[in-house]
Amino acid sequence: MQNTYKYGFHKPENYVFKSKKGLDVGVVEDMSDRKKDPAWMRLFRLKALDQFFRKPLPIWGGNLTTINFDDIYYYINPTDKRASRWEDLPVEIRDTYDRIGIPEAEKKFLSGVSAQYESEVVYKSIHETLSKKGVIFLDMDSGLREYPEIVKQYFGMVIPPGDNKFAALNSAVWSGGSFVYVPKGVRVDLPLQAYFRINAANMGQFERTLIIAEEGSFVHYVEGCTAPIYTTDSLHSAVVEIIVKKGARVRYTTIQNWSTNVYNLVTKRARVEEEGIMEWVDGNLGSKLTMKYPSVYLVGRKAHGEILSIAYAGAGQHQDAGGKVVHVAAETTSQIISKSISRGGGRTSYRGLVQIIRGATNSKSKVVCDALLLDEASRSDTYPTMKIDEQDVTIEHEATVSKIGDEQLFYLLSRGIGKAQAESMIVNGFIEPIVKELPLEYAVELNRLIQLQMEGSVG
Amino acid sequence: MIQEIHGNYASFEYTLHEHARLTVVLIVAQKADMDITVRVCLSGQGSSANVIGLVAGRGDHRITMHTEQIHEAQDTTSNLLVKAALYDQVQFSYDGVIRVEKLAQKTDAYQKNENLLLSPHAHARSDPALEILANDVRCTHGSTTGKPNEDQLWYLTSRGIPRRAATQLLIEGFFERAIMTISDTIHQEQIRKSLWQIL
Repeated sequence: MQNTYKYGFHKPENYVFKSKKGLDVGVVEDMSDRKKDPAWMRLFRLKALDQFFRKPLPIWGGNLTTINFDDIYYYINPTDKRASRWEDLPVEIRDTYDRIGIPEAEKKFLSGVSAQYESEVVYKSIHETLSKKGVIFLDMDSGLREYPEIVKQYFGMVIPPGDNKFAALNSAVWSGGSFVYVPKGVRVDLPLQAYFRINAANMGQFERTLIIAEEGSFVHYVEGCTAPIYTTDSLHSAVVEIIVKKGARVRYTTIQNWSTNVYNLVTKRARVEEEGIMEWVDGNLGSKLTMKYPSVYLVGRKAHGEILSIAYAGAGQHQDAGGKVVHVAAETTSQIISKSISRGGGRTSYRGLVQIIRGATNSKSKVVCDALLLDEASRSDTYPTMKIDEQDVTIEHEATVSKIGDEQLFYLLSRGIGKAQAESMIVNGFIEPIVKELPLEYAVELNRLIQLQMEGSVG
Repeated sequence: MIQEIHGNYASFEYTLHEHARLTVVLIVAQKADMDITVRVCLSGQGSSANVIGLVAGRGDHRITMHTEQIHEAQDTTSNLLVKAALYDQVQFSYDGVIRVEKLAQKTDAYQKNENLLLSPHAHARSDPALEILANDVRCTHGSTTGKPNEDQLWYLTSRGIPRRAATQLLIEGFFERAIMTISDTIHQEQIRKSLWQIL
């Protein structure tokens, strides 16, 4: 969202440690030392680094050829201590988050916040009731340190480093991110939330999140991030792994609004056991190029997965997003709803996979993709894949690309509403089925952003 | 224009000029591996193309079908329907693209792939794609894959029709919906005859 980037400021750099530019074995070993990684994690990182160097860049999706991997800082640690109260945070960092408006948000909605500034989580506050219930909500580094047995069991299980080049990169240089563990039968009613920010020029963000929901539990995790504008490109390559056990439910909501020089290449995947439910709500508004396909692997009977995706591409942006569902077990169901908007030369691409493995009898899947092209310069693509290896299934896919309907526009204009406002109303109505699933403050901000884009200065 | 595909490989390319109209029916019903490409290029204003692909796959064969609907001019229309009935261990793979170039405003393009799985070992893959660079258009595509509807089967068998014959009726109905759209009844009969050789 280029011309309305009101968060495009950055703080003068004041870091305790910053790695040298570029990536090699030395940088990873040094990082592992500073983090005091256990031996198995150090080995994990080094093996992943090797895989990263060996894998080629993907030739599908967006244009990745302009990323210069040697011109990035892979590790920055902003402060050495972690604050447990808002007031204990260093002034600069507090100031950054004040401008984004966290304190109000926290008072109203949240039960705990881990705020990420560069590569480290510097602030966390966990509501007392959560800890009493046995819920763990920490930054990933602390999670590894305090609960090594749990982390070791699940880390890399859903997304092994060899999965793709950027998962390998993340596995080698990951820092920060969240670790969430919800014990059996526990419902976390208020959403858990985290923010991210890229500050130093050429900073890569490699946070790693691991969420484990034990049997019958429920948690809603919310992630929203913003970054300042720089002339050189930034890289955000995150990995999110989620394990949903029998009868549990996890909802993971993201609103991404990176400034338009950021490459946002993320691997997100959930493994869902019997009767479990996974819901991805994915909003992609910013960045120069996003390649992100939240996935659900339905490995237990009657498991259910949903992916709700909104993408907005303005001038110079390419949102290559969608979702993947793999039905492994019988009687599993899935739904993918994708809504995308292209404007001012932006390009949105839906890329998705629905795969039915033999044995996944009586499974159902439905995919609906709608795309709006708002002007002549914009582009929209849809690239779905369906691989069906089982007869007893029902698979549907439909996609539509169009512009704002003339009749709808005429109806509003004839009631005295200006053209720009009418268009923004229609666009907001277009995305409404997904927006209503967002936490309130996101829904409000999203609607406002759309309005500004439609009514504001020409992009 | 009705094309019955013989041999293992076939490729058809059509370019439509101003106000041209084209209807193509492809019947793919041989007991052999097949690789078929259909490319329709609407380069003249006001042209319109209708492509129907009817596939009956048997045995242990691989059938690949690739289609392209390329819209280069204004006010063009294309409508593509690929229906496949898949038996035995056949492997059917469909991929198709609707591409609407920047200048092709007021295009209407439709693409639909429907796969009927008639055996537990049949395999279907469907990759319909859209690449749209013009904004004043209506483009939709869809894909469904499944087996014969149990409710419909029950309705027929409860009236004394053996299950096998009932399934045959449903398959006939499946293709009939596409065949019905062809205006010429003689052509319709031709098509039915070719199809039923294999079904």
